[in-house]
Amino acid sequence: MLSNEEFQSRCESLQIDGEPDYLEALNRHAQATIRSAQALNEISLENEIPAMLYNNQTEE
Amino acid sequence: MDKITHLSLHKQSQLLHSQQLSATELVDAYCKRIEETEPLLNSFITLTLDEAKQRAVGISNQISSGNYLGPLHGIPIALKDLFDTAGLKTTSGSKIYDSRIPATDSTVASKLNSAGAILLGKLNMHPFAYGPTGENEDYGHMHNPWNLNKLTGGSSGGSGSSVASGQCTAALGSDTGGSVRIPASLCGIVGFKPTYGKISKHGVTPLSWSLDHPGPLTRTVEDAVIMINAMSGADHNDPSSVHTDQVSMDFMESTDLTGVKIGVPQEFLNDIDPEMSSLIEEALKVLRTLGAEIKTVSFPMHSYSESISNCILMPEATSYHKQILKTIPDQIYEPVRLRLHAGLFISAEQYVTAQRIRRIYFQELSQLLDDVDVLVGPTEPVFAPDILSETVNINGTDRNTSAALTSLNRPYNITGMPAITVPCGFNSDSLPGGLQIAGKPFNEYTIAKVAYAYQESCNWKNMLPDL
Repeated sequence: MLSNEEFQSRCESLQIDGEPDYLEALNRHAQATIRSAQALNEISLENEIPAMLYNNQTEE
Repeated sequence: MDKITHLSLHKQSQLLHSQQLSATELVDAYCKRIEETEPLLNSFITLTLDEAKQRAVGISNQISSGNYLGPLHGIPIALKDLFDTAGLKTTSGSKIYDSRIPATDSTVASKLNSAGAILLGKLNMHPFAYGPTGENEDYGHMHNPWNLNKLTGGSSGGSGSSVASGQCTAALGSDTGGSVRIPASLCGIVGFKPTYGKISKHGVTPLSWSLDHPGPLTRTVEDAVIMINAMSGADHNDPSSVHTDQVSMDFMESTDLTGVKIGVPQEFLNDIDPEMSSLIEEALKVLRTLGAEIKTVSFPMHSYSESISNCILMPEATSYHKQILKTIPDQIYEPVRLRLHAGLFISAEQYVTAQRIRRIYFQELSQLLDDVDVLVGPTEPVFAPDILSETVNINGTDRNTSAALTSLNRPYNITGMPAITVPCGFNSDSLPGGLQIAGKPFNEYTIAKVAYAYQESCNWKNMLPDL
């Protein structure tokens, strides 16, 4: 999760500008997005087949 | 004869072919219907009724002189306003592109035109297709024909309201996290998202390249298959498109489902509205009566569906719209701008990891389909929420509206597997629910067979909103 300072720093580096209300809403969205992404850390990738990564399906 | 604007595409095409109905009569009926209902629904961004009337005259002459092209010849359709149409503005649902006029047709627009379909107009949508509600401040919110205060669902909201209300025979939508199936379900019609790659995306404004699927919204299952057959095929302008055989229409010959195995993922039945739960139970009883074998299956990775989808969809959408996000962010509908900016907070490593996990997810869902022919469940956990509602209450718990509406649709975007929604009844407020049926890649036929058998065993397709 990002602290308020880290969020502001990221916004500056990403050149995101906006009214305080907008940035507050974005902070909530960004935190939810980061939480959502971090949930994927629970999944083991030991059994993946790298050669198949971008071959999503084959015709029957 | 029933009101001709509410007949199925299949029935209309029979009448056109036998010359019991002319394309001119049909288009005139739709023009009248649009005039009556459009002020209530706001389904369209652009109407092309004069052009449609002119084209109908030519098509009527073609058919009467024996030059019948096939089931779409003379059929009035409409396209979500992210399918490029040569010489006709294509906005992607945003005033930013209000004066954008493509020079060429999208592949699907070209194919539908060649098949003899008549374009009535371009349909309203959630801006940039980035939202599942059908809200749009630039062109006005879309309204559900079953209750004008309710969401159509999105992002193909105008596609849902136009077909459900009889403003056109069939519509085209696009589906990245449910955007065909959500409005179809909330508006009480059929929405069919075929396998990834079956229909070309050339000339379609992307939301997320690796999750986007064009697909039809129609009154019946057979209508959706007719539309898919007209649009499918490899396209050198879309490297992800593939050649596939046409879906046979012989599923219409029988409603016997003896020998068909249906899996019901238990995770798809958690946290859904009790009235929706009842509709699904009743639908499963009907399928069992038709001879299908039904068993409960488990798909534990569903708990990661939202995370996988977010980590892929959000960076891809942000990448596509990055220029306007930098230069004119204030002109982007704020809920969409928030999502586009939030996409910048996903790292490259997280994006690639999500794509890697996507493969494992695909394998797990595929394994379920080794034992059953199709997977069945609700299309939505809820019935149409109020317009602009930020949360929906399910079993006493408030959930974010957008997250709830996409929750049961995302698995089939992540995997690219085909999925259909068919109407399965109404709640006590007379709002429709949808039954979702999904299957193996490129096996649209089996999905259509099960969906058609169910449709013909119920009367839901004949239920019309009182407009």
